[in-house]
Amino acid sequence: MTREQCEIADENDELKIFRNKFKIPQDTIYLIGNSLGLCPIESQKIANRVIKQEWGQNHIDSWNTAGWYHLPVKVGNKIGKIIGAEQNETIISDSTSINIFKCLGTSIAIQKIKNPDRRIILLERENFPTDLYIAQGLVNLLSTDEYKIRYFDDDNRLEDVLGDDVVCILLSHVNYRTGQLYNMKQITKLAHKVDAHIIWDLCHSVGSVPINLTKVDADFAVGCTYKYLNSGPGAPAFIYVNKKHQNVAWQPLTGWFGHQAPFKMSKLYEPAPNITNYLVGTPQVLQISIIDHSVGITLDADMQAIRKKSLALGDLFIKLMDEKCPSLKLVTPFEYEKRGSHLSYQHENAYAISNLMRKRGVYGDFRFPDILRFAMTPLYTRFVDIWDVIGIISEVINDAEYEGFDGNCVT
Amino acid sequence: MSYKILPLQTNRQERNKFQIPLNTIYFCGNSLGLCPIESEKVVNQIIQEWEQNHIHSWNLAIQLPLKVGNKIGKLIGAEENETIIADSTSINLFKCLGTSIAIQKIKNPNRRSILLDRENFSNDLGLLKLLSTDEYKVRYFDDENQLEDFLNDDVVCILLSHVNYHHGKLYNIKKITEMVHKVDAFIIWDLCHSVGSVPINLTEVNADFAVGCTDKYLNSSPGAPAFIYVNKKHQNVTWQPLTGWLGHQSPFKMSKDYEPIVGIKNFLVGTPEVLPISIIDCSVEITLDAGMQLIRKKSLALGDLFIFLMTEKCPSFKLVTPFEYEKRESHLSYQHENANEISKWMRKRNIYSDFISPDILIFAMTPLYTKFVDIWNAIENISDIVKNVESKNFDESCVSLN
Repeated sequence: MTREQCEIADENDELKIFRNKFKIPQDTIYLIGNSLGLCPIESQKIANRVIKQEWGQNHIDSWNTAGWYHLPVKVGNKIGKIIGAEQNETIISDSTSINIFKCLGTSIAIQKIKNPDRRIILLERENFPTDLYIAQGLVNLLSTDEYKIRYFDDDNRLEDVLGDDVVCILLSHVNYRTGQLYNMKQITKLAHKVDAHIIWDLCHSVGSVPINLTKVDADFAVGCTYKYLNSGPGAPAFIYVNKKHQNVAWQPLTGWFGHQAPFKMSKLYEPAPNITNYLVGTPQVLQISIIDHSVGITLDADMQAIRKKSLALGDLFIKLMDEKCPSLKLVTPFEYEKRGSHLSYQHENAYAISNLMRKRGVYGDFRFPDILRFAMTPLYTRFVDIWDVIGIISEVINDAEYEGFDGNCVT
Repeated sequence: MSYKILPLQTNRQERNKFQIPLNTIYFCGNSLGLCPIESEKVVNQIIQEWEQNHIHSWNLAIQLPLKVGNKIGKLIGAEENETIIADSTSINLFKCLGTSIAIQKIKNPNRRSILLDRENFSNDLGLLKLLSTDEYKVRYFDDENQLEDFLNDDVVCILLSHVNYHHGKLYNIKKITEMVHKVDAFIIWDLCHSVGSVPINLTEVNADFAVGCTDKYLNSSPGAPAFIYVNKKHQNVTWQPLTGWLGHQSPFKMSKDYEPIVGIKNFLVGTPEVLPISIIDCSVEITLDAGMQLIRKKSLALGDLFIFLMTEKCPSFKLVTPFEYEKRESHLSYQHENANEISKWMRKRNIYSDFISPDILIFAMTPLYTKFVDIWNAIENISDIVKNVESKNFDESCVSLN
């Protein structure tokens, strides 16, 4: 493999025009889009339009004339297309953590009717911590009901832990640490076999891996918009609720925007009879307008093309790392059906390596104690970037081994 | 009734800090505050930070919620580190209610009554349904006069809006908080319609919890994140119910067990919405610069003028909001049987007020950008419209608003 071959691959890349839609930071090779996606060039223009025109000039009229009122559903449905949802099953609201709470609470409420004796919430121990924390908080809140959390490690057989005492299982489609991709179809089937619900956390897979929630008949899902959907720091999250679970039980965070007719200001709470019940407070119009645009980019690019390039970038990365940086051990499974869009590597000097990389303009991600993560972001990462990055890492590794751990380095 | 024009040393430059919609008289600042001119600049700065410094822009997400929370703290008489920006008002009410319940489970474990203001119909029931096994009882009340009867030693807490949205009545924070504390219950104050409009001193009254919006009198953009106040004495007693990673002691350590961080940061849940929080940062400065005493003085003066002129020129409108200063804040509610129709004709003339079914119009006096001459012009037009509506004579010609 040569750098020239990488350049040719870039020339022939069907997604190459998409890089032009993003602001690429100078003198940087950015492989951390799984933590914060880069900024679409149009973002500033959109923000200015919302601020000066929609809010500044047209104030409350914009609820109607600028479509603010419908934004959460409109943009939710766009994300719905990316995750294989039907119309009006996906909505933009709040943060991933809050949406996990809504899903857990609704699942518990529904199972109280269907399977009232069940008390177990099943969680993967190595899941992204907020998923664990929210569940722990909810179980603590419902102390009188004595729900319990059962943890499993991914080397357990799921069948062993999925009993008929399970209310629901909360699982990340792509594990944040290892980058492993789980088999959504198979696992959803296992959950349904014992009549348990499954809540999919799509934070690391939405926009990077094709998803079809309808096909697997998933119960609930949540996800971030600021990672592979490039919508900006703190942009609101989305929540998906299978139509069959809508209007069965109240979701627990009842706010005025989840009301059937929020502006009617009636004195009685009536949950909206559809996905808008999962709204809580006033929608964050500015950031949702940016999500609208960013998600449009992903829709244009098409998930099949994105996945194809993600695997190709990953293949190149793995091959070159094998050749040039053999001391870095690949943690993510190689097989396509088990690989998400980011690659995790283990090295005892991972922390030092990541700092030295950053000094050379290469952004990967460090996870305590010894993991480095590199995100393949097909919309703006080129094959030559992979070539250049690994060249730099191979140089830096030697320095890292020499320098050792420096606790004062900024990550 | 006579009207005296009081000399006001207001800083008239405040109005220049806002984008004033052309040819419009805007009385809806209690629903959506107007846009500070700086908003565009601060948001562009954040977007540039995102563009150029990408992952480093997360530092703002870490710093802003408490920094801006403490600024709002100054407006509500909180001590340092009792106020933080997070989520929405509804979500924050959930946190306050959940925390109240958890603390009282230790202090007064047999209590089961939750007193709710009917204004906040939707912000509570979900939690109580979730806790159905605990069998909490909800009692709604409509008026502070009922409070004395409802407040007994079965009450966990009471959730009350400082300003009643329908009739604009301002409640006495000190008196009511005292009554609640007499029975060892907690009070959660919803300040959505009072923060930035009336002076508030939560420390003086020893309030337990409070929440509020930033998109009304704090002019911070539609749906901007809300704030939550938690009296220091209630911090770190129990878990709050929404235990997301940003309330953890060390969020980036990625440990498997939740450990609440000590202090108000425990009331954060998920990733903060950096763009609108940067707008709140600059908008709240405008209110801080003007000062709540001056804002209050002008709010009452504008209100006095409005009431005087309405009484003179639109006598068929009935003032619902109490006139007395201690019961009035910035919004005036009026009742009229043709309120809906009148409000539509007003809008055709670019005069904006809020219509609440079936017969209420709300006019918010927003001291930072409303002029006395706006009041005059608006009421001229309203009286004209009322005459037409009442005589069924629909005249579409517009009176100039300048």
